[in-house]
Parts: sequence; C-alpha cells; structure tokens
Amino acid sequence: MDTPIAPEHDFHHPRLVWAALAVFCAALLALAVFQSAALVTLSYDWPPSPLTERTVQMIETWHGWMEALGPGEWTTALGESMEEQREALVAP
Amino acid sequence: MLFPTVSFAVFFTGVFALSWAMRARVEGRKAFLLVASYVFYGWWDWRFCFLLAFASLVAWASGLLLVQDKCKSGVEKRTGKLILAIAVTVLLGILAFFKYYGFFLDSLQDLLFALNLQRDLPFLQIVLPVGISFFTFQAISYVVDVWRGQVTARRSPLDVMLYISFFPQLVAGPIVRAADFLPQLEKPAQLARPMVTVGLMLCLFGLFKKMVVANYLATDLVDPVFLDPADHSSLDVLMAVYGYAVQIYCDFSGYSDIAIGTALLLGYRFAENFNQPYRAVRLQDFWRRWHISLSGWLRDYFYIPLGGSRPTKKRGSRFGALLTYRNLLLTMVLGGLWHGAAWTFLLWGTIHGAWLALERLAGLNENKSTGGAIAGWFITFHLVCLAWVFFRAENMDGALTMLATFAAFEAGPSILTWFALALIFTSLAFQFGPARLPNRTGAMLGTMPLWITGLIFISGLLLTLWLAPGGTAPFIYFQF
Repeated sequence: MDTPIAPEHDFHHPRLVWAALAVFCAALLALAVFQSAALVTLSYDWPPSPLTERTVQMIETWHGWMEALGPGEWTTALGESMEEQREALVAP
Repeated sequence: MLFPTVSFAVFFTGVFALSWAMRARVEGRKAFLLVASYVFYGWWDWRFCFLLAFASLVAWASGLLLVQDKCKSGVEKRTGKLILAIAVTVLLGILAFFKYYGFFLDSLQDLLFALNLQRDLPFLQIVLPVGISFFTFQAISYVVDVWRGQVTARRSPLDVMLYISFFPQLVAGPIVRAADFLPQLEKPAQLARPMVTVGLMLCLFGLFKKMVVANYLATDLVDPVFLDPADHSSLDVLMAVYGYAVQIYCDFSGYSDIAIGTALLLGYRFAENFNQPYRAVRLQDFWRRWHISLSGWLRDYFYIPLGGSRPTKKRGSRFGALLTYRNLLLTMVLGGLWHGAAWTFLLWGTIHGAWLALERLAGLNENKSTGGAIAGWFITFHLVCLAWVFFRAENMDGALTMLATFAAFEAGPSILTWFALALIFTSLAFQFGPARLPNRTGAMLGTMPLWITGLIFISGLLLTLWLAPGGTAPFIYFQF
C-alpha cells in the first residue's frame, strides 16, 4: 500500500495529541472570530427549539461583537475585494 | 455533513479528542468511531444508516459462513461459492435497486413506447443514499477477499462495520481494502508528528482544491456552458471542457486528500487515490493515476476474474487478444455504470474501454521517445476530456450539443475570464510539478516544531475561506 507516511514513523507521542488538539481548537477559534457570519448562517439551519433560539441569539451577539471589533468587517471587505478583482478580469 | 463546513470542523475536533482519549481501549475506540461514523452518515438522512448497517452485516455474516464452510471437508467448495454468490447478489441488489431501478423502468418505457405497447410501469420515487456505490463495493471486496483467503474473517461485527462505514472514506472513497484497513484495527493506534503534519497539509490542500479551484470553475465557467452549450462560443465550450477536467480533479482529489488526511490524524493509513493523472502519456497510465482505488478494485474483482490479459499470453492467438480487448471494454463499461445509470456514463466507460483496447492493439506501451511522449500526452489528455463531455452532460443531447457547438468553430460573446483561464492552466501546470506536494510539505514540516504547522494550517484555512466563493457546494462524487 502506497501510504503518505512510512511505517518506521510508527510510535505514539501522547503529548502530540494535546498539541494537535490545540491546533484544532485554535483553528475553531479563528473560524469563530473571522468567519462569525458563517456561524450565524449555520445556526439558522438548526431545528427550532428553545435551546436553538437561545444559542442563535448568542451567536448573533458574538457576530455583532466581531463586526464591531473589526475581524468580521475585515472578512467582508476581503471577500468583496476578491469578488471585485475577479470581476475585473474580463474576457481575454 | 460536508467536509468544508463548520459542523464538520466541530465534529472532527470532538472525535479526534475522544478517540485519542480512548486509545488504550482498542474495542471501545472502535465502537466510538463506529458511532461517530453513523452520526456522520445519518446527518444526511438517518434512515439510510439502516441500509449501511444491513450491507455491513451481510458482509460480516457471509465472511463467518465462508470460514465455517472452509473448516468442513468434502463439498465445502461448492457451498462456499454459493455463499459468495448469494452475498454478492444481495449487495449488488441493494446497489441495483437504489441506483438502476428508475433507469431500467425509463428505458423499458421508452422501448414499449417505440413498439407502441404503452403500459403503466411501477415507478417509485427513490432517493439515492449518499456513497452507496462506495460502501457496497467495500462490502463486496471484504466477502471476496475472505473467500479467496486474502483476509481473515472477523468474528466481531464491529471490525467489519467500522471498515465499511469509517467516516473519512464513507461517502466518496477512497475504496479502502479490508486487507489494508482491518490489521490497523488490531493494535492501539499510533500518532507520530509526521502523521499530524502530513494529515493537516492534506486537509489544507484538499480544502483549497475543492473550495477555491473547483468551486470557482464550476460557477464561473463549467456550469453555465454545460447548462446551455448552444448559447456559447466554440472557445467557451473548449475551455469549459478543460475547466471540467480540472474541476472534477480538484473536487474529487480534494475530497480524497481530506479523507486520507483525517484518517491519518486518527491514526489510520489509506493508500493514495490520485497521482497527477493529467500528466499520463497513455490511457493505461491515466488509470494508474486516476481514482486508483476504483481502477484497482475493477482490476482485482472484475477484469482478472474475467480472464484479464491471460487469453493473449496463453493462446497467443488473435482470438486470445480479442478476449483481452473484450475484458478491457467490459471492465470500463462497468466502471462507467458504477458512476450511475445513464447512457452518458455507459458511453464514457465505452470510450475508455475501447481506447485501452486500441492502445494494446497498437502496442503503444513501448513508445519511449520524447516526441512520442508529448504526442501521447496530447492525445490522452484530449481523449479523457472528450469522455468528460459525456460524463458531465445532463444527457446525450446535452453532450452532442457541446460537441456540435465546438465543431462549428463559431466566435461569439464569451463568458471566459482571465481568472478562469489562470485556474485551468495553473492547475494543469501543477500536474507536471513535484508529485505528492501535500505529503512532501507535511514531511518537511514534521521536522519543525508543531506550532509552525499549526500557524500555516490556520492561516491557509482562513485564506482559503476568504478566497472561496460563498455557499457550500457538495462534492461531485457524492452523487455516486
């Protein structure tokens, strides 16, 4: 089997699990900060319930903070800039 | 649950943490991963979990029966074959019902209409379960491998159920072999630094290929042209076909990269599924590089049992060669039909099968000169593109309109942009660069502190999300 990693690397490092988990948690935090709009969209797809309602409100509040503090606005601005650049590249 | 979503990111983080917390309890970890895989699959439609469990249990029970049969003496061979035949028929029956029932009735209705014999046929509204072609093929391979003695039948249904439903590869492959995966379940999983760095880089490269390259090409060029080819110029049609070649590669290989990467992060190794397919100089070479797990499956469970290339070698006669060509054609036609029940897929498989036979007939395998290699690459790439027209088109009319519009060589208003052209030609240029780029990058990062990989991964993830168009498009191979 042609695998990405050679079997000689087979030894387990328990601390590596914590390190990798820290990377995942940091990635989730980065998503929550810079992609808070995507979180709002995701929460709108959840089935309606009192818990969902409360969670959606919390996510909307979070998104409001991110917009006010800057990261949300930067994301929107970058997305719009990318769209403008792409549309400016007209037919050859 | 789609890979490039926040839901999957949260789900995977939880599964990663809990599965490694259970590392020492091998059986408990397997049970946990099985539950996680069913949650992942049930996210689309929980009712299909029963179908997945049924296919897995058929494979597991057949494996046990085959082992018991081998332990006996006397007439066991015949009984073994019967068990194998029943198991394969049941598994193919599931696939046939969900995938081909509607196509069969449509074709029958057309035939009856042509013969002026109209009848009310029992049409049903059948929803195709996600990934059915993948998990039934894995179930079949388990039963056949047990029958051949290449895999030891598992007493515990847990192993077989996890092998068939393991979430990284469940809905769009790679089609993992039991002989490769089951031994990995026997001992506590390992996590070494290169596994983390390579796994993260595979996920990052896969996300970029899917979310940026494939999604932009689909929305900006491929979808509008294939939707109404007659309304576009010949250049648009040509570029849309090239664009689709790149789109399907980035979409499918992107999924495979993420699947292999997430499995690696959980401590399991999958074989590679793509290796720069568009640099192939012959079609045979292309099939060694494209969807490697499917071409390997078709070779081992269909082409070789049909006789493979043995008739040519054994008999050395023209008749023997004809049998080999027939085997190639039938294998590729089956490969086409595996993708779906439509005449377009049948023709896609026939083009590939016929050209493979032609390559063998012309003895193209021996051509090693540079000029021959360039010509071989040009012909192979364009033949693959021609076949993609049928693969992508909604129906035969759509495919023929695409070809007719191209053949008309008409200029006209174009939707082509420099951005789309850059995506197409840059992606094609990467086919000729260093192979296995995510693996190399990950291996290089494996020698550095992990926070560097983490920083690259998070920055790359945010950059991909900023660059990608809005919305979440499903992977092309989900429909198969």
